[in-house]
Amino acid sequence: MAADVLLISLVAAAACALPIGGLTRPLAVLSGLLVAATAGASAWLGIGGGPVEAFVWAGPLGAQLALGSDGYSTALLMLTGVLFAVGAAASGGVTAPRGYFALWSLLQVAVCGALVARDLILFFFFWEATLLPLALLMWRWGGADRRPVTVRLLVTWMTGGALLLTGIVALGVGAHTFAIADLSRYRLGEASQVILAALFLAAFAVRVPLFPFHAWFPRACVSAPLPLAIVLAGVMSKIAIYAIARICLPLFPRGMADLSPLLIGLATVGALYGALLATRQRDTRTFVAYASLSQLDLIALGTVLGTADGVAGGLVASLSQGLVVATLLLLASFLARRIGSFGLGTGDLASRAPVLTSLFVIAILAAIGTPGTSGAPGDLLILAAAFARSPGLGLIAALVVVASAVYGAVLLRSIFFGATSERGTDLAWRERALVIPLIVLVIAIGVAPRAITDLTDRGAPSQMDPGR
Amino acid sequence: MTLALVVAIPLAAGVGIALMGGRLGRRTLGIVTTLALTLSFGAAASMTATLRDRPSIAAFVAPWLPIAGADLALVVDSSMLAVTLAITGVAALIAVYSISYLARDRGMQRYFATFALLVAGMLLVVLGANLALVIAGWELAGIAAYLLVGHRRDHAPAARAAMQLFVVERVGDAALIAGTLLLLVEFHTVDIAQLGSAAIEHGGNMGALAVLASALILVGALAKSAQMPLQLWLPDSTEAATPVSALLQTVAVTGGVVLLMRLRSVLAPDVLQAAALIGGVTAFGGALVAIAQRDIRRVVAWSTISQVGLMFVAAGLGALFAARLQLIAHALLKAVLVLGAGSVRRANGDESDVTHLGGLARRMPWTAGAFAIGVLALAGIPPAAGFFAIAAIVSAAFSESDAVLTALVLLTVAAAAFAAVRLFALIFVAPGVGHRDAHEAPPLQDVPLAVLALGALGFGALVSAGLPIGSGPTDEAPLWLLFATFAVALVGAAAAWLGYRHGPDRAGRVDRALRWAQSDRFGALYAAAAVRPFERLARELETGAERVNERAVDGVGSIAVRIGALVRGPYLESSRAQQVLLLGGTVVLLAFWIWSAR
Repeated sequence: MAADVLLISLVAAAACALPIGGLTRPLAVLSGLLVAATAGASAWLGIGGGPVEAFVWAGPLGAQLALGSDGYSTALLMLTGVLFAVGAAASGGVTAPRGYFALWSLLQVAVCGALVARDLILFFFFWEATLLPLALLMWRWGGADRRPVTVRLLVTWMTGGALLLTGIVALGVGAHTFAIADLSRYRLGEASQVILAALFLAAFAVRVPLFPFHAWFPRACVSAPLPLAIVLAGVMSKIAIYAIARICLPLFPRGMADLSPLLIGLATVGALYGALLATRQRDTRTFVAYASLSQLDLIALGTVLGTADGVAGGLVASLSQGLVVATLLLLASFLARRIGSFGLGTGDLASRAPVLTSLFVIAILAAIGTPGTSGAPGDLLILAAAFARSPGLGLIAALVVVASAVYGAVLLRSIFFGATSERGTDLAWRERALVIPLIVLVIAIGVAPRAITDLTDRGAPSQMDPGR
Repeated sequence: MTLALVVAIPLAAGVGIALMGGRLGRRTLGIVTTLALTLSFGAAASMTATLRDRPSIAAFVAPWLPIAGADLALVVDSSMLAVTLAITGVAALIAVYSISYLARDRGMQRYFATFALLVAGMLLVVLGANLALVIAGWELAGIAAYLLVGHRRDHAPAARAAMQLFVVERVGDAALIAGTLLLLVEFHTVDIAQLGSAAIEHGGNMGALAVLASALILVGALAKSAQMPLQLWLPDSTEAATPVSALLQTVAVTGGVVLLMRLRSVLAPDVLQAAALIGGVTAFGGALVAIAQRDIRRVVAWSTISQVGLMFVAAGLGALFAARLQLIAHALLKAVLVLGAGSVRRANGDESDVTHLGGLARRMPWTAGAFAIGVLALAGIPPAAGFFAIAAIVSAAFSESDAVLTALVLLTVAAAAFAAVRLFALIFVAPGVGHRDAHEAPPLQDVPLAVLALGALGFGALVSAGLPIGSGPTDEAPLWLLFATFAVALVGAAAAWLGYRHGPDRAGRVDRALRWAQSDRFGALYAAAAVRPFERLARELETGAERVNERAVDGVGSIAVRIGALVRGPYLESSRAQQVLLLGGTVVLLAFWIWSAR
């Protein structure tokens, strides 16, 4: 399975670069759907967590071409496939489609690779490989301010990457292996664990983005082409969350335990901070960015808590956040197409565009974690983990529910109330076809979240145990 | 299976109308909703016989959340069955009323879909077997209420009221979620029955965590049921259409009471006592404010707050029978009053000021008759329903020998009777200055009104005849106490009748004495204590810390240069530096505290 998703994406990337005319976009959509389907099938058949497929790669370094997947990465691969397919489908009418979709598929290769790599050097390769297509896509196809924003993103990410590489090399040279499975059996002293975990987290925290390392994030969401913004807010962060859950926690149990007070503090403050700032936004894209910041830091909170509830909640919330961000950004772009801007406060949409409004309402309710949508189970599990850690922490984290209510109300008001808008028609079938499947997934996860949480147990390395 | 249908039918109706109701006409949508609620009522009624033989019926549908006890499962006992019947029955009649009342409104698909979803959410609160499902229903009802209040989107006060309701509801949600998760940490389950037995095992000495959890759940109940200090959303929500108000004031507002009743054996005793006291204070204060109002809708809304306060008294004292009686009686009579008030306003060109109405008894005889029954029931005059509920609550407070509560309840009875009769006298009896062309409401409005009024009357008769609405011993109160209660109610009613029979002028002294109750002090308090600090914090963070953070990151490439600029430049003004320190300090404090708590 792990090798399949990589091959699918690679083939798509190569084919998109060929002169195949108008077929590039369908091809990119197809490759995304195939990745999702492959991951979905393997989750369905219970293959996730199977043996690692390993090939010798850079022998002298001790690095291997080791691929494999567990339930956690399988679930994220499904999300990746769905969002890349949706993003490609929403990329109609780009200039120079060959280059765009080739880079787009390369980005997909890198993301999938990072999720299935079972060797730290290989992981680092894919981790950094996301940067190039991403930066090029932003640089060439982005909106206003795209160049300074791209530079900012590059500088921030590469700083994190350099620290990560330092950590990986230090760890691998000492342990004489880079295989994640072997390393998780290799126990370092407490001090080394803290230092290495901090080096790894430097890279991961930037991409989550964990407060206060989020400065690149809101502007990137505005300046990136909209499909890329979906990937940026919906998928990129998930690799980082995944890396914390599946690399940092098993490799540095004691280091993570020692660092967890700081991380918990940052994540909790970030979750509240993002929600507070979201209430101030007047552009749907920055709005989604800050709401995502809040949600992602809450997910990071669950993950760094390291308990079974926290990690499982983080996974469900990750899937939910990815789907919801995609839905909100797509709807925002449809709305912008009708009223000519991404501004909030467009007034009464409900009578002119009932379908658009209904979908918007469901997406907002999912974003603020209403039961029945995918937003609730993850948030509840994360909060439960926070309460289990300490009731006071749980109470502070529960304030996120209140703060998110305020930004939810702001967004709801902006699309609901006001004088009847004369402009705008309801969603066309082509637009509905993009959004409705996402909404169906949002509801499905809300009704049957166990389908996801059951995946986390499968093939998972042992949970964090500070005693070791 | 039947039990699952009780919830599933309104839920399916709501979802079905939302998805496919676009092609149906307004009348069809109304009929579908009414039919669904009636079927749900029937399904609930069909379980009455079974519940005579065994204490409860449970239905397991499917596993849901990966939290212990958080499955899709329902449970009902005879007491909650009575509440279910009241909710579905009253809601069905309100649905019938809204077909005619909202004849000229647009967006009826959205209206009836959210209407059915609100009822479904409340049914989940009443019947859900665990707190996770209760939370789901709680939030579903809250969001449906938000959409219903915001139904008239071009009406600015309604939009403000909807926004306020949404945020207050979410505060309540957050408190309920936090309380539930604390109970989960303490007792390792969210199943209500298991929580009850676990709490009983722990006995009287509950840990601090359980007390905190109980307090949080109480906050959630206060927000949902519009009790002090979270009551303002209810009067403001009357800006919505009349049937929406009716649904909120009969069905949605009782959510907190139902929660307290269901968690009676889980919550800490001190917290329940606090609930009773808050309820008593809210009941008396709400009744006084109701007297001071001139807007017919606000009179009714404040009297709802007051009557729900009495339910809190009963639930807090553990007099579940009394709480249930009051809940059902109130649902019936308040539906009469809200819908009757709506018919009056509609017939008088949307005039809501009671002093501008009058003499309508002759022009609107049916409405006046139904309204009179509702008023008598609210005032606690037998044989209407309210009397028995009030008597049960008074005797509960008395047998706990709680002098403060008994006094508060008796004062509330007098004030509530005064407010209700004042309303009736001003609208229907006082010399008319109202519209000359006022006329009786159409039959589709009058029939549900008449049925509800008969219900309010007949329910009282049935209770006095010993109708078993669930087990629960009626407290044995001395006979003189019942007479005293009756006398107090009668005095309040008579005073209002004498004072307002000839119009508002003779009782001007009362208005002047209660002027404080007309001011929006609580609104100002909300603004000063919560709304403005929140907005200020968000604004300051955006213009301060966020900018500083961005500049700092921009400086990664040229740290040395930038540090100089930060120190000299405009970025490190004192207020911004303070914010950075504040945020950093919060992180450090949190981190240290969690680290030291390990």
